[in-house]
Order: sequence, then C-alpha cells, then structure tokens
Amino acid sequence: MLLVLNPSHLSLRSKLVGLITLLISGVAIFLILFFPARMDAFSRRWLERRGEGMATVLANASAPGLEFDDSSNVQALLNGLAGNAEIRYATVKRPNGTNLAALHPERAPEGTTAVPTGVVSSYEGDELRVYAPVKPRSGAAGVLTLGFGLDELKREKHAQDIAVGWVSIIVFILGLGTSFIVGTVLVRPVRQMTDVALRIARGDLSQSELHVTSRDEVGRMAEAFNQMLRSLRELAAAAQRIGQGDLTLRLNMEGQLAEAFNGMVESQRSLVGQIGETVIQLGSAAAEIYAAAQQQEGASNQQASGVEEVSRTMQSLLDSASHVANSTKGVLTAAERTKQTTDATSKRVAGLGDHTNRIAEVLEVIRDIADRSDLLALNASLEATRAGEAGRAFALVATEMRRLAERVTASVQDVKTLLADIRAFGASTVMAADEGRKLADGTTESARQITLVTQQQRTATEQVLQSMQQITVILGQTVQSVQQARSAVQMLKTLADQLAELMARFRVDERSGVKPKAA
Amino acid sequence: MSQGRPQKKIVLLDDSELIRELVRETLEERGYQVVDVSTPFGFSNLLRRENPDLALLDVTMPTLRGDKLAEIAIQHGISCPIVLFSDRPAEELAAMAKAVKAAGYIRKTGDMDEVVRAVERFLK
Repeated sequence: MLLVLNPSHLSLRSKLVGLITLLISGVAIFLILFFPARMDAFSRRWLERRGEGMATVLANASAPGLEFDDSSNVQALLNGLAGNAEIRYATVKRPNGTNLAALHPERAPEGTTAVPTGVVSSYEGDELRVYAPVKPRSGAAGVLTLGFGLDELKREKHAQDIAVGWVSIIVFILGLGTSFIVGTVLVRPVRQMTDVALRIARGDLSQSELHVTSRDEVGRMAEAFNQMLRSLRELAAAAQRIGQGDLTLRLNMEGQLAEAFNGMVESQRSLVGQIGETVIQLGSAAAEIYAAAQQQEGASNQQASGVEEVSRTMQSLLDSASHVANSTKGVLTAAERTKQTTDATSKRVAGLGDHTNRIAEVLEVIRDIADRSDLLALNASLEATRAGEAGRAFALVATEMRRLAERVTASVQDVKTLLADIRAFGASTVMAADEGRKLADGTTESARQITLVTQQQRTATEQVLQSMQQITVILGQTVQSVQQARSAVQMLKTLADQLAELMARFRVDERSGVKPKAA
Repeated sequence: MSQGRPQKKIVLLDDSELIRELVRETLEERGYQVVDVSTPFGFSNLLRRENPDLALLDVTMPTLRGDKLAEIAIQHGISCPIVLFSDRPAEELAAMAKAVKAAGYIRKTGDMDEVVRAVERFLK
C-alpha cells in the first residue's frame, strides 16, 4: 500500500494526472463549497431586499387604510399578494396590535409587535419576516408583517447545488481527460525514449533513431539520445570487429568509454602479441622436445635389443656352463675310476712281483736239478764208456740226458731273463700306475676346481641374466615412459599449432595478424 | 679488434664442455661475441631471443641430434644461418645440411684456424 502511495513509484503521467486531478478537485470543492454559499447569501439578500421593497410599498399603500381603518381596502391590497407563492402570510396590525387586514393570519405569529422605526427583516425558523411601519399621516403607526417562505429559496439552492455538482463533475472529468491527454502527449516521446533505452539496455541497437520534430527540451533530449545510440552503434561495430579478431582499430571518440575501449583494445593487442610470441616459442620448444623424445625412444629401443642380445649370449653362456659342468662331472667320475683301476693294477703288479720271486726260487731248484742231472749224466756217460759196448746205449741215453739237462739249464736261464724282464716291467708298470694315480688325482682336483668355477660362473651368469631381465623390464618401462612423453609432447605440439592457427585470426597491426607458423 | 664495427654474435650449441670452451675462446680472441649452450632444448627460442649472426650446432648429442634441431629451428622461422659443426665425414655433413636446409657445415678438426676461416666465410 505504501508502495502505491510513494510518488516516486508513479509514472510521470500518473503524477501529472494526479496533480491536475488534485487541482481540479480543489477547484470543484471550492465551487461546491463557495458558490452555493454565496448564492444562498445572495438569494437571501435579494429576498430581503425584495421583501423590504414590497413591505415598504405595501406599508405606504396601507397607510391611508390604517388612517381610516378601512380594512377592506387593505385586505384587497393584501389579497393581491395571494398569487405570490413565496408569501406565506401578510398582516397589517393596528397600533393596538389587532389585525387591520390579514392574509393567512393563521400562519402569522401570535402576539404584538413593536413598531419598528424602519423596515426590518429577520429570519425566524424557515421563514423571513419583514416588518414595516405603517405610518398614517395622523395617528399612531401600525405594523405590516410579511412572511416569506424559504422553500422556494431552498429549492433553488438545491437545484443550484445539483448544477454546481454536475458542473464540478464535468469539470473534473474534463480536467481528468485533458490531463490524461496532455500527459500522454507530453510523456509519449519520453516513453518512446524509455522503450529505446530499455532495448539498448537489453543490448538491442537495431532500432531506428528517434524522429525529432520539436526543438524543445524533449526534442533536444531525443537528439541527444540519437547521438548516444550512434555512439553505441559505433562501439558495437568496433566490438564486433574486435570479436572478429581485428585489434588494429581505434575509436575516434572522446570520453571515458572510448578511452577505456581503446585502452582495452591496446592491452588486448599487447596481450595477443605476447601470446602469439609465446605460442611460437611453445611450438618450437614442443617440436624440440618431441624430436628429443623420438630420439630417446629410438635409443631405448636399440638398448632394449642390445640387452636382449646380451641376455641371449648370457643364456648360451649359461648353457655352456651347464655343459661344462656335466662334462666335468664325467671327467671327475672317469678320473676317479682311473685312479681306482690304477690302484688295482699297482696291487696286481706288486702281486706279480711276489709270484716272480717264487718262480725264480723254483727256477733255482730246477737249475740245481738240471745241474745235478747233467753231472749224473756225465757220470753215467763215463760209466757207460767204461762199460764198453754194453754201455753204449746207456752212453747215448746219458748224452741225451746231458743235452736235456743243458737245455733245461738254458731254458731256466731264458726264464730267468724273462723273469727279470717281467720284474722290470712290473716295476715300470707300478711306477707308471703310480704316475697314473697321481695324474688321476690331479685330474680329479682340476675337475673339482672346474666344477666349482663353473658353478660360480653359472651363478654369476644367472645373476647377470637376472639383472638383464630387470634391465629389460626397466627399459620396457623407459620405452613406455618415453612413448607416453612423446605422445604427450605430440599433443602439446598439436595444441600449440592449433593455438597458433587461432592466434592468426587476430590482426594486431595494419599489415598482418600474429604471424603464425605452420609447423 | 673490432672496435669500429659492432661485434658479430655467434651462438654455439655443443654438449662437450671442452669444445665449447675451446671454440668460445678462439672466437672471442677474434673479436666475436659467443653465446654457448649445452642443451638443445629451447634452442629455437634462444636464437629468437639472441638473434645472432651465426649459429654453430653440434650434430651428435645424446638428447637430440643437431641436424634434427636445425630442421626444427628452420621450420619454426629462424632466419639466422645455422651451420652444422661436427667431426663426421664431410660428405655426410654436406648431405645432412642440405636435407635440413642448413646454411652449411664446418668440420671439427684440430685446426682451429680452419674453423675460424670457415666461420668468417659464413659470416660474409
């Protein structure tokens, strides 16, 4: 409710209409209050004057009648008033207070009345009483009383009130209408401007300029408005060109807005220039990193294949070591068996020596027997010779026996030689076997050492292989990382190129835009 | 030596500190201003920033090969002459320089006078 009453929230036209309405209402109220009162006073005065005039005339005319107490004449005079609706009654009283003549005496007030010095009127209730002295040429004066009814007056006043009321209403309505029309006419350009301003406020500059017809304040205001619209349009066009990337323009206008605008364009130009420069730098830096990543990727791949090759070599080395270990195991076994065999041989050869000694002893016995046999044969032969012819055959047998004994002795000698040989062989065999044993011992030791070394080599190779596998894993990760880095940098490079293309849309000097580089 | 005219500026990229020291000292003795760097990253931007008269670029580097780097720099609009600087065979260097549109090559030999002469030739 307060909002409605707050004049600052009302429209200009409402204010105007309200103001004029207030004014007219004042006038109407004045009319209603002031004029009927005045008219009433005026009517009353007019009635009084008329009444007084009539009373004077009637008093003068009644004077002879009073003088001669001629009531019929006076009555006729009063009866003449009967046609007058205003007159309620009329009396002419003798100086003693009795009626000389009367018109509607029943309406007249009772009692006597003092004779006034002149015509006097007074309001009594709803009537006007006019008293006039009736002065005959001789004798005491009587009183003429006229009673005027105020009904007519009231009726007139009422009609007048109604008329004034109607006039007031008409004036009020006319005033309201006029003020409305005047307000509308006055406000229309303002409203138009308001509409335009609202559309401008919403960002719409497409509307046509205001049609300026008058040179008054409103006209000048419209002209100023048009100028503002033109400036805004220029500003909008400039903003559009900036939006299309043209940063070369400069507004040839004065004022803070143009200054701010030019400042903005200037800083944008500088910013775009810097960004362009940065983009170029970014592009080349990204290209460099990209190329480096590519090179690193190649190197990593090469390393990976190198490591793979080393791993393969290590694997074959491991296989060789296994092979060597197996072979060495065989050698060890063989060497141990050789040693055992050689030991057995040595023992056997030693046993053979014993046997040989026994054989030599037996041979000595045989040789002794052969020697004795030979001696016996010789004796027998000698005996045979002595026996002559008879002993001849015996001599032959003895000779043969001697030959046999000699052959046995020779054979024993041969066997002895052989035995010596066997003994010599046995000794050398034992020596050889001993050497063989020592050799086998050496082989065993060597084989053990080889096994140990091979084992160590195997462990070391396995460790190397393990390390190589780890290196392969790490290299794989490295390659992956480098690939990721490369694709990331590739994206960066692509983005830098795209940014450069975008930057090319801006024109920062008259000749060209930010110089982009098509990489 | 070159008080009369402005110093010529040379950028040197080599991963070997020894080579950088040697070449820098040699060229500075001849009155050149030398900016030397060891890493290939940011090389194009360095050239853009320093705007030298000549850039010497080692080829064999662990992170990024010099010829590739030269290619990138030239593709990215570097206009200063880029010269490959390596101990690789001359034919290989010539082919490389041609492939990446470099200005040429200078072989790394023990003879620094020859290097200086080659630099002067490129600066002409």
